[in-house]
Amino acid sequence: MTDTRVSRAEPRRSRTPRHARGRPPTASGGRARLVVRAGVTVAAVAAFVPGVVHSFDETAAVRRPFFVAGALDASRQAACVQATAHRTIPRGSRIFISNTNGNYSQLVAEAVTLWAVPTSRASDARWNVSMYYGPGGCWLHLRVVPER
Amino acid sequence: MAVLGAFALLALPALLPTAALVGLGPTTVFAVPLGGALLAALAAVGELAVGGSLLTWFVVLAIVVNVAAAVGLWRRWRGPRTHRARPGWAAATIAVVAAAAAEPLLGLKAQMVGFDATAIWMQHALFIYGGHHTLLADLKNPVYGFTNPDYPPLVPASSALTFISTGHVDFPLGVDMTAILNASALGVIGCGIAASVAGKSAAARWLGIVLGASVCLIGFGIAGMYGVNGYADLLWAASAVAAIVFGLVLARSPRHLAATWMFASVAGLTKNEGLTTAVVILVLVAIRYLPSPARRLSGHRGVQGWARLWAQRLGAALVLAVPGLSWAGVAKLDGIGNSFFSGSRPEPVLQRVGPTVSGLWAHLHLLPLAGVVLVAGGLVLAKARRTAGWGNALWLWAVLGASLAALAASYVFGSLAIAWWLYTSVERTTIFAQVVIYCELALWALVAVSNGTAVAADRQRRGQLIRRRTKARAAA
Repeated sequence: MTDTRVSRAEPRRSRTPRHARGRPPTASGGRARLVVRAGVTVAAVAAFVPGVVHSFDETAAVRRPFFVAGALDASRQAACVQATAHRTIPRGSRIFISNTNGNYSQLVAEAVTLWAVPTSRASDARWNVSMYYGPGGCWLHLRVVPER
Repeated sequence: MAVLGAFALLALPALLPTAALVGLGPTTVFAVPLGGALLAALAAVGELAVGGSLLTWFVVLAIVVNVAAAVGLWRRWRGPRTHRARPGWAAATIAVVAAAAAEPLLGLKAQMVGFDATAIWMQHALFIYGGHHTLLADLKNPVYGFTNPDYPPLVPASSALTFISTGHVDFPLGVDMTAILNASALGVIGCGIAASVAGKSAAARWLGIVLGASVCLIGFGIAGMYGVNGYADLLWAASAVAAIVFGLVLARSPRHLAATWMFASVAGLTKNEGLTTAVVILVLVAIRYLPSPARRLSGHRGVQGWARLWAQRLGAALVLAVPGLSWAGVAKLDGIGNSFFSGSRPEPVLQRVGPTVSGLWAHLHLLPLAGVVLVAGGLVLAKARRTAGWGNALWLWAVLGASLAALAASYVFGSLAIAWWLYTSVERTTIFAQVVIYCELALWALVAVSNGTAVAADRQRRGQLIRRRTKARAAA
């Protein structure tokens, strides 16, 4: 009886017929490959060109005077609120922010970071701080009263 | 000038360690600031976990890693010389990629400090700047719940270092540093794409450099103003994509593995989404670097063998993810959380699925094109990709799929009102997926072009050989 099993150590043979091994691909196969290569390259170019143009547009948009002026106004107002907080709230004191408006309470908390200690309970605080909108200064004012 | 001083304080201590990890090449130039930011983030982890100040921890860590890097570099210098990139190509890569990464930084002229940049990243920078007690107390203070206290410390720690370098708090300077880190992470991707065709024809190499530089520009274009107003989304996304390029695309090597670890750590210490994605990437990298032995060599591998292999893979991924997980672990131990999953959802889960899918889809319009390219490339160019030593394209798609699934699950099961949440975040949370798609297209284009030039060169060589043999026969 003949042993037909192949040794495990023997490398698996290629399925390519012997006459085709080591030869360049057929004309039709080569053409298909060329088409796919061209298609992939065109797809990449089609995606990349608008992407790069969009990037230049974004940078130009951010540098417009409108944007620059808006950013400057925002940073001026934040600095003004912070200066008011530092002027009116004693350093290191515990404060309770009584605004129900989340935006205002957040602005106050941001303005007093590293200056005062905001607490979530009024009973733990020495000062009651609230923000209100009105003319004059930076249009955002702080009312600081002793907490009872 | 202030930004240069701050940049020097951040980057100089990372010069030697980054060179030791990533090697000397174009990538190193862009990886150095990320290395400095990684040191700063680890210093912040030490500050929160143990005590002390950011500067103390930063100096101690810088000394330790620089001594270790010097020893490593000395040993390598005394050993056999390894192949180095040709200086001409390296200089061209650095120049073109740096120009592309720097152009969007012109937007810093506006000195914008975005809403989240002020409310989250700069507040955390102030907490870190204030020292251990301030950091711990403020992160646990319910009043500062709006800052998402468990967010990782890489961006705020880098900003806090800029405050230390100037001696006063300066939000626009902190934003400048974040934007420079964004540009560095995108530059690393650009260099990775350019390096993928090293040793190929000049045309392929130039295309690699141009496509790498284009990805830098496009990354900033996708992020829009969020790239230059202090948001951290572009940084984690670009770092995670860099980790994919070095760990799952480029040929396996110790250098690429070290680079992958570094960029995944940056992503994991930048944002919570970055940590999830970094862990997925590191698990896949562990699977790629610890492959199953060929079936014919492994013999009859029992269940124990497979269990051991998977334990090795998961263990390796866990070890690599330690820097990213360190902050999450310390925050968990200190009871620091966020508001995304606490409380009840305003809508039922099923009502959140539709808006989530359409919200994500609106930013993934290139996905079908990338899918078609994947199928066409996989059918025709997969062999060329394998020959170049690149990883299978499906690794990249696996990370993309897992990241999008995690993102969608967060939106669906999160507790914020879905319409408002998507409106305020989806264009930022999809930056990673979009950059991945552009990278995938760039890589397939490089395979197509470099394979084309390789086939042409091969035909030319074959023709010369046949002509020489024919002449030899005729002479005989």
